[in-house]
Amino acid sequence: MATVVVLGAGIAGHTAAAFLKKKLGKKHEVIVVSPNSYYQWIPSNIWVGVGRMTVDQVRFKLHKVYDRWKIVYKQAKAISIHPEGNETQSKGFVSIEYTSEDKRGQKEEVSYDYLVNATGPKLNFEGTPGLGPQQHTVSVCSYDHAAHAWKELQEAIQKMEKGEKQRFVIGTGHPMATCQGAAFEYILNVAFEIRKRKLDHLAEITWLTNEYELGDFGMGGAYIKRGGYITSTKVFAESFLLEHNIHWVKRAGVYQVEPNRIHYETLEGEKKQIDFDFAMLIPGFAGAGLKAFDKNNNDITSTLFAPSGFMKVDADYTAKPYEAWKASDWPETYRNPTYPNIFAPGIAFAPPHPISKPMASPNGTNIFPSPPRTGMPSGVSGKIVALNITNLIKQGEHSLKHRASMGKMGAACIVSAGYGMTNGAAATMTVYPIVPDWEKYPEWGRNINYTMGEPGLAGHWLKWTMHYLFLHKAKGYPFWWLVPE
Amino acid sequence: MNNLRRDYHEEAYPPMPTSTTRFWRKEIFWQLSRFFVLNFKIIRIVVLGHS
Ligand SMILES: Cc1cc2nc3c(=O)[nH]c(=O)nc-3n(C[C@H](O)[C@H](O)[C@H](O)COP(=O)(O)OP(=O)(O)OC[C@H]3O[C@@H](n4cnc5c(N)ncnc54)[C@H](O)[C@@H]3O)c2cc1C
Repeated sequence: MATVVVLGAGIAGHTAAAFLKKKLGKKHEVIVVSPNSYYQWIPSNIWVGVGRMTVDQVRFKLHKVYDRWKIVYKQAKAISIHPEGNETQSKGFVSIEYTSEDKRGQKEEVSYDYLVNATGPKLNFEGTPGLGPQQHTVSVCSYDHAAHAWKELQEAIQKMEKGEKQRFVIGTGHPMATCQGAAFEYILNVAFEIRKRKLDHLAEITWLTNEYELGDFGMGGAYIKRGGYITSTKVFAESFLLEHNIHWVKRAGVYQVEPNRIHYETLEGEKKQIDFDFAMLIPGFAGAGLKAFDKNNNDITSTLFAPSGFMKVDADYTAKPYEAWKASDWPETYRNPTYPNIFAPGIAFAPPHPISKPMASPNGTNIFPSPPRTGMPSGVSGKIVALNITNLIKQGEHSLKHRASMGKMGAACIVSAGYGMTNGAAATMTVYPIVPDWEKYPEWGRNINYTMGEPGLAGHWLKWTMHYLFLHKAKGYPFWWLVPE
Repeated sequence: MNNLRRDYHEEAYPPMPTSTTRFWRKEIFWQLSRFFVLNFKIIRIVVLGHS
């Protein structure tokens, strides 16, 4: 019997665990270690952040699903990985610490034959003094943050209802933050809610971003077909903001937040401020902060992990100038090169380099987005890791058949505001592939037929369909495996 | 908006949708057909993206 341990029950980890159990059956054991007792469908947190959904509509208890699937679930956080075991055991193991009510603080060593590290990002609010829900800004990165954001937004709306002007600033809260798509969706939702209440004359809404141009989204922007032209996502994003009466400040690296005031450095090296009454800024992302030790208890964290805390996998990490970056630098199997029984799908893997062109201010501050790893690649990489591990266990083959690189995979970002079937504003953006492949697509870097940007209600319906379909899949309801990632 | 345009401000230049464009964005039958096209394209990029 083989034991596969999955760390994290987000989009990548939960997908991996589901397919591992489905493919491996009763003969092998699948253990999931995750500190939060809930699964959350993160993309719908945006709607929690504007009061359109309740927290319970975007989450469910993991144990219910895992009990049904016969997956062992440990509500705990992984602390360290010991890929070679230690003096007392030769098998690799993970040290975990329970977070559940009944066992809080208890430690355990969980041994594995295969390990899937799907711990996603650590929301690094500490990287920007004053940032985050404990400090002066709100966040929509988790359901509890989103619920808090809604509470704060209601207060701002109430003030406007009394005739008071309010300044809203939404965007990125670190010079190298990513996930612009989520912030972009949130700003449109906030604008929509304000307009619906006929309070727009009292609101000043600003998009504050570290992007060189709008529509970069951490993937160097994209070219899309629109209105008889091939245009860039810059034009698309700017037009969308302008239409919703949203101003913007770009090339801004936020380095500090005080009550009602954000400090940022521009790419020109100037230090500026912007005042706010309500601010939702996405923090920088880092790895989960796991440590690693060899069998003699020597620290080998830097062997397994990049300095950012993300895990090293089968990517080409050779330092190269921007002009030399290739789509083929990106990993395909998410397997750790030193310990081949360890994999890291989703956000947990270390990218070989950014996708957006690096930019620095004269003071040396890097101001550009880190590469995004959205839901679709997270789900797909979780799935192919599960299929490859299944093959390794069942057939012992050494070549990994299943592959999924961000240089070949697409992504969809649907920005949807409003509620109901006929009322709302939405834009659907797809890119294929995520990482531009200038060798395969020399003209536009991507397949122009599958790289799109399209405003319209259809996107609104798509987002709704995805919400219900992906929760159906995550809950393991009938035919869940037919729902694509 | 007018001030922005008069001031040669950056925000004066992006295209704004016409009322016809806005109409089609909410026209149920047209959007229904786009819904199926977008679904098809998204499923294609998921399937094409991995082996
Ligand atoms: C507001 C918002 C909206 C978004 N909208 C979209 C969208 O419309 N489309 C899209 O494609 N993507 C979207 N994304 C991105 C998408 O949510 C992420 O790509 C995806 O969640 C990444 O999946 P993951 O499994 O790698 O990480 P996560 O989903 O973050 O999961 C990580 C898991 O690891 C667990 N964990 C953390 N530390 C430990 C530890 N030490 N030990 C064990 N477990 C641990 C966590 O509890 C969690 O269960 C959005 C993101 C945000 C924040």
